[in-house]
Amino acid sequence: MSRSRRSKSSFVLTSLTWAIVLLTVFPILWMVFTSLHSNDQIMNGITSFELKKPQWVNYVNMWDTVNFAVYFRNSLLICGVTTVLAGSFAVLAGYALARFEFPGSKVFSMSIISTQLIPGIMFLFPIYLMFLWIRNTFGLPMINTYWGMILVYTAFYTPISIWIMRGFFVSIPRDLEESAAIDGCTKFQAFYKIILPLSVPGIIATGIFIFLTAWDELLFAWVLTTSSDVQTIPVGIRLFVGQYNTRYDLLMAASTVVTLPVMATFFLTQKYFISGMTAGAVKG
Amino acid sequence: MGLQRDTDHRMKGAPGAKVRWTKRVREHKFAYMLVLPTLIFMMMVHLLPMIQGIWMSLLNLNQFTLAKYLKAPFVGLSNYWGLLFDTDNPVRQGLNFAVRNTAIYAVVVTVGVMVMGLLMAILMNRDFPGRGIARTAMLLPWVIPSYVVGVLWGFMWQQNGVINYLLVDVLHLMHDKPFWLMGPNTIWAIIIPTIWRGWPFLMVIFLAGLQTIPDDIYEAATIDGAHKLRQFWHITLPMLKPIIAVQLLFQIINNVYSYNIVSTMFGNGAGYPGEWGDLLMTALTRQSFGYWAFGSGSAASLMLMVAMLMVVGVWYRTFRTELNAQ
Amino acid sequence: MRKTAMASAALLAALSLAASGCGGNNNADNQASGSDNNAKGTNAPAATSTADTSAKTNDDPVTLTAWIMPNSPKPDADFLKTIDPYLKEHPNVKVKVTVLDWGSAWTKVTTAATSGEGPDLLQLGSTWVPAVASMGGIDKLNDKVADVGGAEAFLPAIWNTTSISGQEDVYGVPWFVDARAIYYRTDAFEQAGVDAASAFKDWDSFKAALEKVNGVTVGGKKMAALGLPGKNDWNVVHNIFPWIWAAGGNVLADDNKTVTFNDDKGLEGVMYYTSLAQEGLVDKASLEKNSSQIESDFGDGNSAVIISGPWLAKNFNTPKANGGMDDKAAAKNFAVAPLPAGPGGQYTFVGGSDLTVFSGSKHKDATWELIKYLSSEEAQKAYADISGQLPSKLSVLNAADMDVNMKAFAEATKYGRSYPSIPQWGPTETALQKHFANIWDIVAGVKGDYNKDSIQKEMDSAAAEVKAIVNQ
Repeated sequence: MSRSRRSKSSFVLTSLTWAIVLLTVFPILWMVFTSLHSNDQIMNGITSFELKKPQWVNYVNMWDTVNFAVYFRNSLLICGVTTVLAGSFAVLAGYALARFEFPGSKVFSMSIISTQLIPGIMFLFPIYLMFLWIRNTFGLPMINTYWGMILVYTAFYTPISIWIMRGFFVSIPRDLEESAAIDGCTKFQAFYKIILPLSVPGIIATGIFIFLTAWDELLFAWVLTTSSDVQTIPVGIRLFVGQYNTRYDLLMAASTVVTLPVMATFFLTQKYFISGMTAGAVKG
Repeated sequence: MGLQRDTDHRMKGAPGAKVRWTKRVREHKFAYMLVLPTLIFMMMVHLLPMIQGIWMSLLNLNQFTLAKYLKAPFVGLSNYWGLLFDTDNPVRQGLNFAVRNTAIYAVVVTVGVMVMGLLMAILMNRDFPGRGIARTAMLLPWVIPSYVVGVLWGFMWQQNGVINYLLVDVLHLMHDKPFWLMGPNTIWAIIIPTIWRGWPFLMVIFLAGLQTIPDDIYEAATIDGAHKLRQFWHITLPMLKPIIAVQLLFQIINNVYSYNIVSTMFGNGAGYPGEWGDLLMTALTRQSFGYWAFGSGSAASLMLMVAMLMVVGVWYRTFRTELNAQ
Repeated sequence: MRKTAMASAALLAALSLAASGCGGNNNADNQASGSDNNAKGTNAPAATSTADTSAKTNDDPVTLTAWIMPNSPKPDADFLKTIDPYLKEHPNVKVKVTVLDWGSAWTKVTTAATSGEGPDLLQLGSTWVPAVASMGGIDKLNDKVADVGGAEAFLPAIWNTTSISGQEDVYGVPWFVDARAIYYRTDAFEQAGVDAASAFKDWDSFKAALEKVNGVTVGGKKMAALGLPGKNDWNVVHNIFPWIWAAGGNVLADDNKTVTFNDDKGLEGVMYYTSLAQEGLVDKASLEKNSSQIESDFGDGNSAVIISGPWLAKNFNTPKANGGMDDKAAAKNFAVAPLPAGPGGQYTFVGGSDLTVFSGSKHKDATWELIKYLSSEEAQKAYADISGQLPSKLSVLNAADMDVNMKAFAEATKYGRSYPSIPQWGPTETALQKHFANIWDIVAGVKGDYNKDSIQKEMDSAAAEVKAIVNQ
């Protein structure tokens, strides 16, 4: 009796779970489904779940209507390097915050949170002008360069990554370094040889987090890049839809395509990501 | 340099807290080296531009004075005064809606993602057929770029779009097809996609948290006759409190500063989201680049920052014990 | 540690110098300067800029950057195709094209104009020229415009946008023209028994015709009389103003300071236009859509009449595989007619884009040469064909071999009107767009009741905001 009731309630819960999963996945399927329609079908609103003639050609046309391959390359490059840089900085600073209570560490922690509270629009213009100043003073161009974008993105995403990494390091027992010290390791050696290898899942989780967030950035990319040599996907993707030419079919195809690399990265590293987040999240 | 040496010297004579302070700095050379790269970047990209931003908020920066930038006419606090007290100020009128919408949006989205995330985490923590696939599928929305989310949902919300089709023609939940991208419904049109994109991440975090709660606590509770709901209130929630605290803060910040989804959903970045769709970030962007009112844009940004600092303060006081427990 | 602290202190100091230095560098007042505008940057760029006298020798390799908007189906490729003959003739010139989208272009152009960091050749929406000129972002072309035929060679409505109202200086050369006219379904009109010849005469005949056409079934599809976009559009302001003008209203009085669009006439215009939607002649679903979607609705036979620009005719000629609509019934059964006259006369919106020389450019002469080519008859024609926009040059616009739809648009430009050419137009349009969006909310029935008072109230608050902007 009680067993059958339990299996009944378990059935209900499982159905509920799957219902939510379906609802969650639906918009994504819809995006892919939409991308296989022609432009006018999309604009008129698709309300049929039947696909008569899939427009695979959209996935071909999107590359030459707008120079999408270049935007794609730029995004991969900028976000990739940002991930490595911000990830490394976060590992270093996160470790410092997790292990040492140095004078200023409280202030440093606070300023990490504070950076998240500055509205982008407030320092967008100043950064732009500072970049100009650097160019004019040192002859080093910053606007519309990869390194300019990487500099900004690295600074943006380091603080929150520090927070994640710190949580991860806190979860690693201190005894490890203490015994390493007894074995004659310096602080750096202990960190490098013992703690770092243990932190790989956390580092990967942080890296994915940075990559996804950078892939998503819109406002600064609009202003700080001025030519398609450097512009990223969020800038380029808008060219499909404008006042005089509107290709929603290609826009949806492009939307699907830009989701793929992040999805691929994510699924390849999912295992690490979840275990990394598990360790990090629990300690906050 | 000389001055510093001087102080050092004086300190030697009077051993106190300050001696220990310099000593401690020296002791933590390693820690400082670790945070140095971050500090440099933060200084360049956050601190210095922000100082300029503060100065900008005291200037009359419009399209005629913008070329002078930091040497534009100094107007003291009048940008602030205009935003706070001048009811005729068009900037202020526009921001009123944005403030209201952002408050609703941030609260509803934050609560939404936390509750949905926790619920999904609990559901996913059970063993059921296809759990691995379900868990992976649940995470998909999180990897969709937000500018894609805006465009995609913009289509779905159209009056003759798929959402109305499902609600009206398939499920018969409503009689008429409502407008989602115009009027008061707009707020839902921006909240729901944000929750949709946000909750998978919370689910992972909570799932991670749930898995660290030892089973024997629940077993002991079951033996004591505690009901599932009681277990949730008295075991699960308290154990998750540190996670909830941290995620709550990040969510509030994220949502108050939300920009991408709204900006791409309306007119592909060129439209006005409407009195129920305009958020602070879209309003301030329009303020700065649409009206070229960089001065009052900065003033409003700063006031927002101060308000948010207070929110963080309240948050810290509320969760101090959980945070320090770590 | 002290070393580190000192280092960071020094860094901080250096950087705060940087911060204040920016302002200094941008301080160069180039409001009125002509070709010597390069003073804007620091010495380094100024020094290199003198090298630009190279135009005399004309053979030095030069790479020009051009910022254009998505004017045509393949914006950058189409542009390069248009200038290809020029590039072949001048192998030393290379052109790098960056396409800005209209949504963020404003932001980008503004930032570029205030900082002096931008392209060589800059396409500006016609209403933006005075603003960017007043910021010192683009060069005066006074002595040069004779090279391209001067004012007489171009459509007056678009030529007017190349200078600031009330001033002599010319800042750009018109590139192409965007005019609005009516597209209607000839088959639908026939079936409803409406005489197209008299339907578009004035407001009364227009409304009567719409009422007759409303609900007519063509090809098994029931049509709404009219399709019009509401607030989620790029053209919110351009869609409404022709009706205000036709009612006898205007944006500003002749002094360009007094706001007049919220007077009785302005209100009448807005009421007439919105009443078409309010009285069931428009499928209300279209109020949520943008111009492109409205055009597509028309192509699909959902509406019998829409107001659009010349590019739509081109789109009806473009194969489906390229995103066009040549396969639709509408493609074979449409005609173009002028907007009906209101009590205050007949008007339509004329906009378009101008070509300008960016003040921070280091290759001004070479840029001007390219602009000269783009305003040649050959290039004007080529770009009009490829983009579906109207040429700005009268000799091309009125050429005998223009197709019949383009002719209809050329005709429409005769009663075309543009906005006051004032530096504050950019912000003004931002404000108008916001308030007109609210009007569409009222029309759609999601923001209070639709009546004269509620619309007047919204117009008044728009006027208050515009007043504050133009009197800055």
